[in-house]
Amino acid sequence: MKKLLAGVLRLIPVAVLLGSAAGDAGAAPASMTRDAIINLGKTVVGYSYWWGHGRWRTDGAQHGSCKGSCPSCSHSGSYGADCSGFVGKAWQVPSASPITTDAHPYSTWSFAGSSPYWDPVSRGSVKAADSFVYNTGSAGHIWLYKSGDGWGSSYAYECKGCSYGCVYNLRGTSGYAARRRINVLDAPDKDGDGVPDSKDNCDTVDNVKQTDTDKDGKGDACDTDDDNDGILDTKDNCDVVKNADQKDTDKDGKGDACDTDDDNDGILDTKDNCDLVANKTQADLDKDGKGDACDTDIDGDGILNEKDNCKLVKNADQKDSDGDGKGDACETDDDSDGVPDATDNCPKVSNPEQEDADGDGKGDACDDDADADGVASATDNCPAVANPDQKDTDGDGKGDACDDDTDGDGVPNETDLCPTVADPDQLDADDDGKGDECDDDADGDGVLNEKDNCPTIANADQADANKNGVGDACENADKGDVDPAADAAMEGSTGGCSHSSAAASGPWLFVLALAAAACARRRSNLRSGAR
Amino acid sequence: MTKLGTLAALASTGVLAAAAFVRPPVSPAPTAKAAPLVKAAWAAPAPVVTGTPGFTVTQPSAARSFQVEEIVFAAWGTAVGELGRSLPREANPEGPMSFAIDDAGRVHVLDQLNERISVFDPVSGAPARAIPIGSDTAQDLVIDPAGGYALLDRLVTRDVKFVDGKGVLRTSVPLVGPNVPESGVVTALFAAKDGFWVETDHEKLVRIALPDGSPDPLRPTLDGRRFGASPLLRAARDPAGYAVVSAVGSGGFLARVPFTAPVLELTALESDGVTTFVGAHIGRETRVAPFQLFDEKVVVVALDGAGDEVGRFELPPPLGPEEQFKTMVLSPKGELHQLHVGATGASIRRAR
Repeated sequence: MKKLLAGVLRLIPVAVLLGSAAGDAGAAPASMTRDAIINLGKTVVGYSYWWGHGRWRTDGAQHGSCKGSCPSCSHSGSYGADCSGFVGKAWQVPSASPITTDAHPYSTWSFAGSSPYWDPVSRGSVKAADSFVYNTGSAGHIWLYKSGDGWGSSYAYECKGCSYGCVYNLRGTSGYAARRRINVLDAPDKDGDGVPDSKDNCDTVDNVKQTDTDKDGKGDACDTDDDNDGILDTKDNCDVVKNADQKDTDKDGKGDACDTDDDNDGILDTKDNCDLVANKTQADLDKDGKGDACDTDIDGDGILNEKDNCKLVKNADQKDSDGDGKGDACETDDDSDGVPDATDNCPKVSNPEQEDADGDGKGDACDDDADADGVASATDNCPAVANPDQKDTDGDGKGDACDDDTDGDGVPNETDLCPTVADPDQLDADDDGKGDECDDDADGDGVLNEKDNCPTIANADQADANKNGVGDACENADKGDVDPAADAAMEGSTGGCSHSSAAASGPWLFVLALAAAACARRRSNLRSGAR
Repeated sequence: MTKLGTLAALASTGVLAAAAFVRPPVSPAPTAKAAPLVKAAWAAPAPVVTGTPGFTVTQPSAARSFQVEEIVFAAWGTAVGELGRSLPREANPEGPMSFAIDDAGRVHVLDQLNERISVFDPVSGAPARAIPIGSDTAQDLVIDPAGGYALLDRLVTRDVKFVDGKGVLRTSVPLVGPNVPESGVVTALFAAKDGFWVETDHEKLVRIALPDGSPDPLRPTLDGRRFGASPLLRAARDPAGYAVVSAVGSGGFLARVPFTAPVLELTALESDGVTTFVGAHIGRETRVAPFQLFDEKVVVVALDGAGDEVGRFELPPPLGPEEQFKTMVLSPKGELHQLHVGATGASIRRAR
């Protein structure tokens, strides 16, 4: 009890300070419409917070300013109000008072308490021009309610504080209680939206916001053509934006004029690089800000897509090597050789086999020096085989390196006893596999041809009885057999050669051996046509 | 006990807080219309949960249970780690207006009365740092994905300011312009990948700035809140005890969410693209003057992608008249946070 009384006593000076002469006790304030109160309230917006005061102007001039922390704040100027000064003036309590006349009849403590001039009302029944107030004795605030929004927040006029000044804002009501001025006239308001019929642009439909899109004086809520585009709202795919053409690119039922995503690709038109064509990926190959889906020159090469033989790859030259209508720049097999360009060692020249003689990665078909021998393929006598010397023994225009018959004697190199020296008869006197034409010791007698006095008949002794420079072997060969013993041995055998086992001993053994060797050589020469 | 004594005793219990009126000393003499009544000092109803840091309450739910825990408590004051609160005479009472949660779960409180942003560690609850902002009239903040913050000042400078991580102003964008004719009706600020959006009248989003903070000359609009790939969300209260939530677009729904008492005000509409949270401050009012509120609580209902309820939990209601601009935020991890103003300080609760 003592505590409560102490609290009340403590509050008295505050009330005295904030409240001034409150007018005639018991005299009811003049009737006011809710509109009139709200209209008064509106005019305070922009004025400074002025602690303990309440006056401002309807012309919005001379706002004044507040600095510091109230009540120790400083105010400059002659106009402004604190929260309770504002509501007292807007409500015109306890009696009518020009808003330009400074007055502060009540504090929030007053408004929170009982009075003949206002009543508590339930939150569920608040209407425009009611107020919300709280007061703890040491603190308090009050503001003028205009209407509510869908969340239950309130549109309010209030002189909020020194930093804020007097404002209009949406705010919460938590912790506050509602008050209603007495003698407030509820102007005829058939639709109960808080806007008197006389001012309601749609007095039969609740439309507190009074939205009138086409400004025809008829609120949208009861206007059958909100945007005045000639299409009834019931059929208008964009009823608040004029669009007589009813264009609806994405056919989503929402006209482009009011569709924030005309093509329904999930990208807002303002951000969409192609707002009328669905392109969720926003691909823009040439980075020109225009999405590929609606870019008439996707690759930005100056050739319109419809004429571009390669519309996704820049190719202003429109080069088309294989003439297939597809530009090289985007052809996957430019030369149509069956090998994709990506792996073709010669993408512009057909070379299905991908020959690459020098292994330099460049196909022979398009390699200027296919064998990398330093001789251009065009003049190379052997373009696919490296032969920097261009040797051509037989002078047939085909380099030895790639000539199957190097000496041009008609015998292929692989069987030619002398592949680099023409020897069509392929003589090989000593039967050593090397043709006589290229054998330094044709008869294989150990004496080089150039010193041999009988180069085609083996005569290691170089016997030359008559000293005429021609070995006896050659001369006797011309006259008769130089080795009668050997001949005799051969004559006794099939084919002229035979071995005798009789009397094979003593000095005759060596002779017989020589005879056998000579016989074998002769047979060989006969087989090969040796001279 | 006298009548006055009886009422005072009741008032001291909080049951009859502000239940009676006393005639102001300077008011006109009482008339028959207004009988002399006793006014008790304003007292808040008992909180649902205490402000003790570290408490944990597991709430029952339909299908998904949510654990609510207090992760930060900051006493009123001006020192580091304290938050500003103002209960002035004849002016608007304020607590911290708004807050945001970053990827690491840190709590960034708009401590506008101390002209700073105070950052708290979500694990220890300790203050991590304070960023001066040089203004006491900002009412909302979001974390700028590019670094720093975007601050909404809808009533004085009437703009959105972009400050860096040290609070240095980088640029600002005016609020008033196409599609935002009146800055006082802005009800939220959002940062999205495609720029910064403000909400007006709890209905429409308007993009006022591009991701780099430059003004958006086109100022496109969206008919509802959008969170990542979520459908456009809108909500409205049915004072009878419902919230109507509509999700328009792919995966849309229309849900009528029931509450156990009349909805005084919606407090949240958040989504992580999978779960949508709708919060409501509910309470009952006595049928006769002074129309005292009782049974107040904040209830959050979680809805799935079809608009069906998957769970609900309770949070403490506002205890006093301190204005707060944003009391609930969904973190990047999908955890709902509440900034609650109490008698001795503010607390952050996390529900997950």
